[in-house]
Amino acid sequence: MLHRFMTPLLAAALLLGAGSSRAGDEPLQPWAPGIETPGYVWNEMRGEKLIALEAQGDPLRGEIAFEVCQGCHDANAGGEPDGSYPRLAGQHATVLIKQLTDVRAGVRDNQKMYPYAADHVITPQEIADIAVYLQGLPAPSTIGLGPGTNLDRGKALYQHQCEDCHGTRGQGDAAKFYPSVAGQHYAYLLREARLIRDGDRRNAHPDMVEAVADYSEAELSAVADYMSRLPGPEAAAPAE
Amino acid sequence: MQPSSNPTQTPRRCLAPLALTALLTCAPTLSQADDPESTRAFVQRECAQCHGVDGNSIAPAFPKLAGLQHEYLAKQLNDFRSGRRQNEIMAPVIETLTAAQVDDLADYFSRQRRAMGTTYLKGMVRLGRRIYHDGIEERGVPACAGCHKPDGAGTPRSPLLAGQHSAYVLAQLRAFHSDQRDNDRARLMRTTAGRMTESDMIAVSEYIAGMDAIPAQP
Repeated sequence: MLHRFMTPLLAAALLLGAGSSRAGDEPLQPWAPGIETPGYVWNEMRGEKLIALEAQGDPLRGEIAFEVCQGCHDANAGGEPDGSYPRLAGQHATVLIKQLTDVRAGVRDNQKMYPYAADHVITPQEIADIAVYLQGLPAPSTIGLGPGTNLDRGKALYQHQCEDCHGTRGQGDAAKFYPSVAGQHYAYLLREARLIRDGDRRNAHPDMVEAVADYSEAELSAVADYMSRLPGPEAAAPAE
Repeated sequence: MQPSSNPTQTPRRCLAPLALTALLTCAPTLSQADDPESTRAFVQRECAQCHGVDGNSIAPAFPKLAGLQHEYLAKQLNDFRSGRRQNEIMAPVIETLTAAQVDDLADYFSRQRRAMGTTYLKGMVRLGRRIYHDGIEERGVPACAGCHKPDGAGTPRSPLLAGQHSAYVLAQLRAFHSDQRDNDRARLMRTTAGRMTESDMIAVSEYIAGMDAIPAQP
Protein backbone atom coordinates (compact mmCIF):
# COMPACT_ATOMS: atom_id res chain seq x y z
CA MET A 1 0.00 0.00 0.00
CA LEU A 2 2.70 2.40 1.05
CA HIS A 3 4.73 2.24 -2.15
CA ARG A 4 1.87 3.67 -4.20
CA PHE A 5 2.15 6.92 -2.35
CA MET A 6 5.90 7.12 -2.46
CA THR A 7 6.02 8.53 -5.97
CA PRO A 8 3.69 11.46 -5.31
CA LEU A 9 5.34 12.12 -1.96
CA LEU A 10 8.74 12.12 -3.58
CA ALA A 11 7.47 14.39 -6.33
CA ALA A 12 6.04 16.78 -3.75
CA ALA A 13 9.31 16.80 -1.83
CA LEU A 14 11.24 17.53 -5.01
CA LEU A 15 8.86 20.32 -5.93
CA LEU A 16 9.13 21.85 -2.48
CA GLY A 17 12.88 21.60 -2.70
CA ALA A 18 12.81 23.32 -6.08
CA GLY A 19 10.49 25.92 -4.62
CA SER A 20 12.87 26.90 -1.88
CA SER A 21 15.66 27.64 -4.33
CA ARG A 22 13.38 29.93 -6.29
CA ALA A 23 12.91 33.38 -4.89
CA GLY A 24 9.15 33.55 -5.32
CA ASP A 25 7.13 30.64 -4.02
CA GLU A 26 4.49 30.00 -6.59
CA PRO A 27 1.30 28.13 -5.74
CA LEU A 28 1.95 24.39 -5.97
CA GLN A 29 -0.50 22.08 -7.65
CA PRO A 30 -2.17 19.64 -5.24
CA TRP A 31 -1.99 15.92 -5.85
CA ALA A 32 -5.10 13.76 -6.01
CA PRO A 33 -5.40 10.04 -6.74
CA GLY A 34 -5.70 9.16 -10.42
CA ILE A 35 -5.41 6.17 -12.67
CA GLU A 36 -2.47 4.72 -10.71
CA THR A 37 -4.70 4.29 -7.67
CA PRO A 38 -7.10 1.33 -7.30
CA GLY A 39 -10.72 2.41 -7.26
CA TYR A 40 -10.02 5.28 -9.69
CA VAL A 41 -13.22 6.63 -11.20
CA TRP A 42 -12.70 8.37 -14.52
CA ASN A 43 -14.26 11.84 -14.74
CA GLU A 44 -15.96 11.60 -11.37
CA MET A 45 -18.80 14.08 -11.23
CA ARG A 46 -18.34 16.14 -8.13
CA GLY A 47 -17.13 19.41 -6.71
CA GLU A 48 -16.40 22.34 -8.97
CA LYS A 49 -16.52 20.18 -12.10
CA LEU A 50 -20.20 19.66 -11.47
CA ILE A 51 -20.71 23.33 -10.61
CA ALA A 52 -18.97 24.49 -13.80
CA LEU A 53 -20.84 22.00 -15.97
CA GLU A 54 -24.17 23.12 -14.56
CA ALA A 55 -23.37 26.83 -14.78
CA GLN A 56 -24.61 28.89 -17.70
CA GLY A 57 -21.43 30.00 -19.45
CA ASP A 58 -21.23 33.50 -20.91
CA PRO A 59 -18.85 33.89 -23.87
CA LEU A 60 -18.38 37.63 -23.34
CA ARG A 61 -17.27 37.14 -19.75
CA GLY A 62 -15.27 34.17 -20.95
CA GLU A 63 -13.30 36.30 -23.38
CA ILE A 64 -12.20 38.55 -20.52
CA ALA A 65 -11.42 35.68 -18.16
CA PHE A 66 -9.41 33.97 -20.93
CA GLU A 67 -6.96 36.88 -20.89
CA VAL A 68 -4.74 35.19 -18.33
CA CYS A 69 -4.50 32.09 -20.57
CA GLN A 70 -3.43 34.00 -23.68
CA GLY A 71 0.20 34.34 -22.68
CA CYS A 72 0.62 30.65 -23.52
CA HIS A 73 -2.41 29.54 -25.55
CA ASP A 74 -2.34 32.68 -27.69
CA ALA A 75 -5.01 35.32 -28.26
CA ASN A 76 -6.82 33.17 -30.83
CA ALA A 77 -6.55 30.11 -28.55
CA GLY A 78 -4.58 28.38 -31.28
CA GLY A 79 -1.81 27.22 -28.99
CA GLU A 80 1.63 26.66 -30.50
CA PRO A 81 2.25 24.63 -33.66
CA ASP A 82 5.30 23.07 -31.95
CA GLY A 83 2.82 21.42 -29.57
CA SER A 84 4.16 23.09 -26.45
CA TYR A 85 0.67 24.46 -25.83
CA PRO A 86 -2.45 22.84 -27.24
CA ARG A 87 -5.02 24.49 -29.40
CA LEU A 88 -8.17 25.22 -27.39
CA ALA A 89 -10.26 27.02 -30.01
CA GLY A 90 -13.22 24.92 -31.07
CA GLN A 91 -12.77 22.27 -28.39
CA HIS A 92 -15.94 21.01 -26.68
CA ALA A 93 -16.85 23.05 -23.60
CA THR A 94 -17.40 19.86 -21.61
CA VAL A 95 -13.90 18.65 -22.43
CA LEU A 96 -12.35 22.00 -21.50
CA ILE A 97 -14.20 22.00 -18.17
CA LYS A 98 -13.11 18.44 -17.44
CA GLN A 99 -9.45 19.08 -18.20
CA LEU A 100 -9.26 22.40 -16.37
CA THR A 101 -10.95 21.10 -13.24
CA ASP A 102 -8.80 17.96 -13.35
CA VAL A 103 -5.68 20.15 -13.36
CA ARG A 104 -7.05 22.20 -10.48
CA ALA A 105 -7.91 19.09 -8.50
CA GLY A 106 -4.47 17.61 -9.15
CA VAL A 107 -5.57 14.59 -11.19
CA ARG A 108 -3.85 15.87 -14.34
CA ASP A 109 -0.35 17.01 -13.50
CA ASN A 110 0.62 20.44 -14.78
CA GLN A 111 2.60 22.62 -12.41
CA LYS A 112 3.47 24.96 -15.26
CA MET A 113 -0.17 25.88 -15.79
CA TYR A 114 -1.53 25.54 -12.28
CA PRO A 115 -0.61 28.99 -10.86
CA TYR A 116 -2.42 30.63 -13.78
CA ALA A 117 -5.54 28.48 -13.60
CA ALA A 118 -6.08 27.76 -9.92
CA ASP A 119 -9.12 28.87 -7.94
CA HIS A 120 -7.40 32.04 -6.75
CA VAL A 121 -7.27 33.16 -10.40
CA ILE A 122 -10.43 31.77 -12.02
CA THR A 123 -13.80 30.97 -10.43
CA PRO A 124 -15.92 27.93 -11.37
CA GLN A 125 -18.32 30.31 -13.12
CA GLU A 126 -15.41 31.69 -15.15
CA ILE A 127 -14.40 28.15 -16.09
CA ALA A 128 -17.84 27.75 -17.64
CA ASP A 129 -17.52 31.18 -19.29
CA ILE A 130 -14.10 30.42 -20.76
CA ALA A 131 -15.22 26.98 -21.95
CA VAL A 132 -18.22 28.28 -23.87
CA TYR A 133 -16.14 31.12 -25.30
CA LEU A 134 -13.43 28.77 -26.56
CA GLN A 135 -15.91 26.26 -27.94
CA GLY A 136 -17.28 28.99 -30.18
CA LEU A 137 -13.94 30.16 -31.57
CA PRO A 138 -13.04 29.20 -35.13
CA ALA A 139 -10.20 26.76 -35.57
CA PRO A 140 -7.03 28.65 -36.52
CA SER A 141 -5.49 27.54 -39.78
CA THR A 142 -1.95 27.13 -38.45
CA ILE A 143 -1.71 23.54 -37.27
CA GLY A 144 1.53 21.79 -36.43
CA LEU A 145 1.65 18.63 -38.54
CA GLY A 146 3.78 15.50 -38.33
CA PRO A 147 6.20 14.18 -40.95
CA GLY A 148 3.39 12.79 -43.13
CA THR A 149 5.40 9.71 -43.98
CA ASN A 150 3.24 7.06 -42.33
CA LEU A 151 -0.31 8.28 -42.79
CA ASP A 152 -1.67 4.98 -44.13
CA ARG A 153 -0.57 3.21 -40.98
CA GLY A 154 -1.98 6.06 -38.90
CA LYS A 155 -5.31 5.79 -40.69
CA ALA A 156 -5.51 2.03 -40.17
CA LEU A 157 -4.77 2.38 -36.45
CA TYR A 158 -7.25 5.23 -36.07
CA GLN A 159 -10.06 3.37 -37.82
CA HIS A 160 -9.34 0.25 -35.85
CA GLN A 161 -9.16 1.71 -32.35
CA CYS A 162 -9.88 5.44 -32.13
CA GLU A 163 -12.74 6.20 -34.46
CA ASP A 164 -15.51 4.72 -32.32
CA CYS A 165 -14.96 7.33 -29.65
CA HIS A 166 -13.23 10.25 -31.39
CA GLY A 167 -15.35 10.05 -34.55
CA THR A 168 -14.68 9.52 -38.24
CA ARG A 169 -13.74 13.18 -38.63
CA GLY A 170 -11.90 13.43 -35.30
CA GLN A 171 -14.71 15.53 -33.92
CA GLY A 172 -14.92 13.83 -30.52
CA ASP A 173 -18.10 13.63 -28.47
CA ALA A 174 -19.11 16.53 -26.25
CA ALA A 175 -21.67 14.56 -24.25
CA LYS A 176 -19.12 11.86 -23.40
CA PHE A 177 -16.23 14.29 -22.69
CA TYR A 178 -14.22 12.82 -25.59
CA PRO A 179 -12.05 15.55 -27.06
CA SER A 180 -11.97 16.70 -30.62
CA VAL A 181 -8.57 15.63 -31.95
CA ALA A 182 -8.96 17.05 -35.46
CA GLY A 183 -6.72 20.02 -36.08
CA GLN A 184 -4.86 19.58 -32.82
CA HIS A 185 -1.11 20.06 -33.08
CA TYR A 186 0.69 16.82 -33.92
CA ALA A 187 3.41 17.26 -31.30
CA TYR A 188 0.84 17.83 -28.58
CA LEU A 189 -1.18 14.75 -29.60
CA LEU A 190 1.98 12.66 -29.65
CA ARG A 191 3.11 13.89 -26.25
CA GLU A 192 -0.26 13.24 -24.63
CA ALA A 193 -0.65 9.84 -26.30
CA ARG A 194 2.73 8.88 -24.89
CA LEU A 195 1.76 10.08 -21.41
CA ILE A 196 -1.50 8.13 -21.62
CA ARG A 197 0.25 4.95 -22.75
CA ASP A 198 2.79 5.18 -19.96
CA GLY A 199 0.23 5.92 -17.25
CA ASP A 200 1.55 9.44 -16.71
CA ARG A 201 -1.58 11.25 -17.75
CA ARG A 202 -3.35 10.36 -14.56
CA ASN A 203 -6.85 11.52 -15.50
CA ALA A 204 -6.95 9.34 -18.62
CA HIS A 205 -9.83 7.05 -19.54
CA PRO A 206 -8.82 3.44 -18.71
CA ASP A 207 -10.06 2.28 -22.13
CA MET A 208 -7.79 4.84 -23.74
CA VAL A 209 -4.77 3.54 -21.83
CA GLU A 210 -5.64 0.00 -22.85
CA ALA A 211 -6.06 0.99 -26.49
CA VAL A 212 -2.57 2.42 -26.86
CA ALA A 213 -0.81 0.19 -24.33
CA ASP A 214 1.11 -1.74 -27.00
CA TYR A 215 1.75 1.13 -29.39
CA SER A 216 5.33 1.69 -30.46
CA GLU A 217 6.74 5.19 -30.77
CA ALA A 218 6.33 4.95 -34.55
CA GLU A 219 2.69 3.93 -34.19
CA LEU A 220 1.92 6.75 -31.79
CA SER A 221 3.55 9.16 -34.21
CA ALA A 222 1.62 7.79 -37.18
CA VAL A 223 -1.77 8.01 -35.51
CA ALA A 224 -1.06 11.47 -34.06
CA ASP A 225 -0.04 12.68 -37.50
CA TYR A 226 -3.22 11.25 -39.02
CA MET A 227 -5.45 12.77 -36.31
CA SER A 228 -3.98 16.25 -36.66
CA ARG A 229 -5.03 16.21 -40.34
CA LEU A 230 -8.66 15.11 -39.78
CA PRO A 231 -11.25 17.62 -40.97
CA GLY A 232 -13.26 18.00 -37.74
CA PRO A 233 -17.02 18.48 -37.46
CA GLU A 234 -18.96 18.81 -40.66
CA ALA A 235 -19.98 22.37 -41.44
CA ALA A 236 -23.71 22.99 -41.12
CA ALA A 237 -25.43 22.24 -44.41
CA PRO A 238 -26.19 25.39 -46.37
CA ALA A 239 -29.87 26.31 -46.42
CA GLU A 240 -31.62 25.33 -49.64
CA MET B 1 6.74 65.08 0.73
CA GLN B 2 10.03 66.57 1.83
CA PRO B 3 12.14 67.15 -1.26
CA SER B 4 15.25 67.75 0.82
CA SER B 5 15.08 64.20 2.12
CA ASN B 6 15.93 62.99 -1.34
CA PRO B 7 18.53 65.41 -2.69
CA THR B 8 20.12 63.05 -5.18
CA GLN B 9 16.95 62.49 -7.12
CA THR B 10 15.46 65.97 -6.95
CA PRO B 11 17.54 68.75 -8.46
CA ARG B 12 17.45 71.66 -6.05
CA ARG B 13 17.08 74.29 -8.72
CA CYS B 14 13.62 72.95 -9.50
CA LEU B 15 12.34 73.61 -6.03
CA ALA B 16 12.11 77.41 -6.05
CA PRO B 17 9.77 77.75 -9.02
CA LEU B 18 7.65 74.93 -7.72
CA ALA B 19 7.34 76.53 -4.31
CA LEU B 20 6.51 79.82 -5.98
CA THR B 21 3.84 78.17 -8.05
CA ALA B 22 2.37 76.63 -4.96
CA LEU B 23 2.25 80.02 -3.21
CA LEU B 24 0.81 81.84 -6.17
CA THR B 25 -1.98 79.34 -6.54
CA CYS B 26 -2.66 79.56 -2.80
CA ALA B 27 -2.05 75.83 -2.62
CA PRO B 28 -5.60 74.77 -3.32
CA THR B 29 -6.42 71.43 -1.87
CA LEU B 30 -7.88 68.59 -3.80
CA SER B 31 -11.02 68.64 -1.69
CA GLN B 32 -12.71 70.68 -4.40
CA ALA B 33 -12.66 67.36 -6.14
CA ASP B 34 -14.71 68.10 -9.22
CA ASP B 35 -12.59 71.05 -10.25
CA PRO B 36 -9.89 69.82 -12.64
CA GLU B 37 -7.72 72.83 -11.83
CA SER B 38 -7.38 71.79 -8.24
CA THR B 39 -6.25 68.33 -9.22
CA ARG B 40 -3.61 69.84 -11.46
CA ALA B 41 -2.45 72.10 -8.65
CA PHE B 42 -2.22 69.15 -6.32
CA VAL B 43 -0.22 67.24 -8.90
CA GLN B 44 2.14 70.18 -9.31
CA ARG B 45 2.68 70.44 -5.58
CA GLU B 46 2.85 66.78 -4.59
CA CYS B 47 3.52 64.57 -7.62
CA ALA B 48 5.30 66.54 -10.31
CA GLN B 49 8.79 66.61 -8.81
CA CYS B 50 9.13 62.88 -9.23
CA HIS B 51 6.49 61.90 -11.79
CA GLY B 52 6.37 65.06 -13.95
CA VAL B 53 3.37 67.32 -14.15
CA ASP B 54 2.08 65.36 -17.14
CA GLY B 55 2.97 62.01 -15.57
CA ASN B 56 6.06 61.51 -17.72
CA SER B 57 8.84 61.33 -15.16
CA ILE B 58 12.37 62.18 -16.19
CA ALA B 59 14.30 60.14 -13.63
CA PRO B 60 14.07 56.47 -14.61
CA ALA B 61 13.66 55.30 -11.03
CA PHE B 62 10.25 56.96 -10.87
CA PRO B 63 7.50 55.41 -12.96
CA LYS B 64 5.72 57.20 -15.73
CA LEU B 65 2.08 57.47 -14.72
CA ALA B 66 0.87 59.05 -17.94
CA GLY B 67 -1.70 56.95 -19.74
CA LEU B 68 -1.92 54.23 -17.10
CA GLN B 69 -5.36 52.74 -16.71
CA HIS B 70 -7.65 54.51 -14.25
CA GLU B 71 -8.34 51.16 -12.57
CA TYR B 72 -4.63 50.44 -12.17
CA LEU B 73 -3.75 53.88 -10.81
CA ALA B 74 -6.60 53.78 -8.31
CA LYS B 75 -5.63 50.29 -7.18
CA GLN B 76 -1.99 51.24 -6.63
CA LEU B 77 -2.88 54.40 -4.72
CA ASN B 78 -5.34 52.45 -2.59
CA ASP B 79 -2.76 49.73 -2.01
CA PHE B 80 -0.27 52.39 -0.86
CA ARG B 81 -2.97 53.74 1.47
CA SER B 82 -3.71 50.35 2.98
CA GLY B 83 -0.05 49.36 3.19
CA ARG B 84 -0.41 46.51 0.73
CA ARG B 85 2.16 48.27 -1.44
CA GLN B 86 4.92 50.10 0.37
CA ASN B 87 7.24 52.89 -0.64
CA GLU B 88 9.04 55.33 1.66
CA ILE B 89 8.93 58.21 -0.80
CA MET B 90 5.22 57.80 -1.43
CA ALA B 91 4.26 57.39 2.22
CA PRO B 92 4.02 61.07 3.34
CA VAL B 93 1.84 62.00 0.35
CA ILE B 94 -0.33 58.95 0.62
CA GLU B 95 -1.13 59.58 4.28
CA THR B 96 -3.17 62.63 3.40
CA LEU B 97 -5.08 61.27 0.41
CA THR B 98 -8.84 60.84 0.51
CA ALA B 99 -10.82 58.37 -1.57
CA ALA B 100 -12.05 61.22 -3.76
CA GLN B 101 -8.50 62.39 -4.38
CA VAL B 102 -7.47 58.89 -5.41
CA ASP B 103 -10.18 58.92 -8.02
CA ASP B 104 -9.23 62.42 -9.22
CA LEU B 105 -5.55 61.55 -9.52
CA ALA B 106 -6.30 58.31 -11.34
CA ASP B 107 -8.48 60.26 -13.70
CA TYR B 108 -5.86 62.95 -14.21
CA PHE B 109 -2.91 60.69 -14.96
CA SER B 110 -4.91 58.25 -17.07
CA ARG B 111 -5.68 61.11 -19.46
CA GLN B 112 -2.08 62.18 -20.00
CA ARG B 113 -0.18 61.15 -23.10
CA ARG B 114 2.59 58.62 -22.46
CA ALA B 115 5.95 59.80 -23.80
CA MET B 116 8.37 57.52 -25.63
CA GLY B 117 10.90 55.63 -23.56
CA THR B 118 14.59 54.98 -24.03
CA THR B 119 16.32 51.68 -24.62
CA TYR B 120 19.80 51.66 -23.10
CA LEU B 121 20.93 48.10 -23.74
CA LYS B 122 20.18 47.66 -27.41
CA GLY B 123 21.76 44.21 -27.44
CA MET B 124 19.09 42.90 -25.07
CA VAL B 125 16.10 44.00 -27.14
CA ARG B 126 15.93 40.95 -29.38
CA LEU B 127 15.71 38.58 -26.41
CA GLY B 128 13.29 40.94 -24.70
CA ARG B 129 11.02 41.01 -27.72
CA ARG B 130 10.96 37.24 -27.87
CA ILE B 131 10.08 36.91 -24.19
CA TYR B 132 7.44 39.62 -24.42
CA HIS B 133 5.66 38.05 -27.39
CA ASP B 134 6.41 34.32 -27.00
CA GLY B 135 7.22 33.79 -23.34
CA ILE B 136 9.78 31.21 -22.26
CA GLU B 137 8.20 27.84 -22.86
CA GLU B 138 10.74 25.65 -21.07
CA ARG B 139 10.33 27.55 -17.81
CA GLY B 140 6.60 28.15 -18.13
CA VAL B 141 6.84 31.91 -18.50
CA PRO B 142 3.78 33.15 -20.38
CA ALA B 143 4.16 35.85 -23.00
CA CYS B 144 3.71 39.33 -21.50
CA ALA B 145 1.59 40.10 -24.56
CA GLY B 146 -1.15 37.80 -23.29
CA CYS B 147 -2.31 40.13 -20.53
CA HIS B 148 -0.50 43.37 -21.43
CA LYS B 149 -1.40 43.04 -25.13
CA PRO B 150 0.98 42.89 -28.10
CA ASP B 151 1.25 46.70 -28.25
CA GLY B 152 1.88 47.02 -24.50
CA ALA B 153 -1.31 49.02 -24.02
CA GLY B 154 -2.65 46.72 -21.31
CA THR B 155 -6.27 46.36 -20.24
CA PRO B 156 -8.28 47.48 -17.21
CA ARG B 157 -6.77 44.46 -15.44
CA SER B 158 -3.16 44.77 -16.60
CA PRO B 159 -1.31 48.09 -16.82
CA LEU B 160 0.05 49.91 -19.85
CA LEU B 161 3.74 49.06 -20.22
CA ALA B 162 4.86 50.63 -23.50
CA GLY B 163 7.45 53.35 -23.01
CA GLN B 164 7.88 52.81 -19.26
CA HIS B 165 11.39 53.39 -17.89
CA SER B 166 13.40 50.19 -18.10
CA ALA B 167 14.93 50.81 -14.66
CA TYR B 168 11.48 51.00 -13.09
CA VAL B 169 10.16 47.91 -14.91
CA LEU B 170 13.25 45.98 -13.90
CA ALA B 171 12.93 47.09 -10.28
CA GLN B 172 9.30 45.90 -10.21
CA LEU B 173 10.13 42.57 -11.85
CA ARG B 174 12.87 42.00 -9.29
CA ALA B 175 10.49 42.95 -6.49
CA PHE B 176 7.89 40.48 -7.77
CA HIS B 177 10.60 37.86 -8.31
CA SER B 178 11.65 38.10 -4.66
CA ASP B 179 8.10 38.54 -3.29
CA GLN B 180 8.98 42.00 -1.98
CA ARG B 181 6.13 43.42 -4.00
CA ASP B 182 3.06 41.31 -3.37
CA ASN B 183 0.03 43.36 -4.40
CA ASP B 184 -0.37 41.62 -7.76
CA ARG B 185 -3.68 40.05 -8.69
CA ALA B 186 -3.76 36.35 -7.93
CA ARG B 187 0.07 36.19 -7.55
CA LEU B 188 0.31 36.27 -11.34
CA MET B 189 3.29 38.61 -11.52
CA ARG B 190 5.10 36.95 -8.62
CA THR B 191 4.70 33.60 -10.33
CA THR B 192 5.79 34.93 -13.72
CA ALA B 193 8.77 36.96 -12.52
CA GLY B 194 9.68 34.13 -10.16
CA ARG B 195 10.27 31.94 -13.21
CA MET B 196 12.50 34.53 -14.92
CA THR B 197 16.24 34.93 -14.62
CA GLU B 198 17.98 38.27 -14.08
CA SER B 199 18.90 38.51 -17.76
CA ASP B 200 15.33 37.66 -18.82
CA MET B 201 14.09 40.53 -16.66
CA ILE B 202 16.69 42.97 -17.97
CA ALA B 203 15.92 42.03 -21.56
CA VAL B 204 12.16 42.41 -21.30
CA SER B 205 12.52 45.72 -19.42
CA GLU B 206 14.67 47.11 -22.21
CA TYR B 207 12.20 45.95 -24.84
CA ILE B 208 9.23 47.49 -22.99
CA ALA B 209 11.00 50.85 -22.68
CA GLY B 210 11.44 50.94 -26.44
CA MET B 211 7.87 49.99 -27.35
CA ASP B 212 6.01 52.76 -29.10
CA ALA B 213 3.83 54.55 -26.60
CA ILE B 214 0.19 54.32 -27.54
CA PRO B 215 -1.86 57.39 -28.42
CA ALA B 216 -3.26 59.38 -25.50
CA GLN B 217 -6.71 58.49 -24.25
CA PRO B 218 -9.42 60.97 -25.15
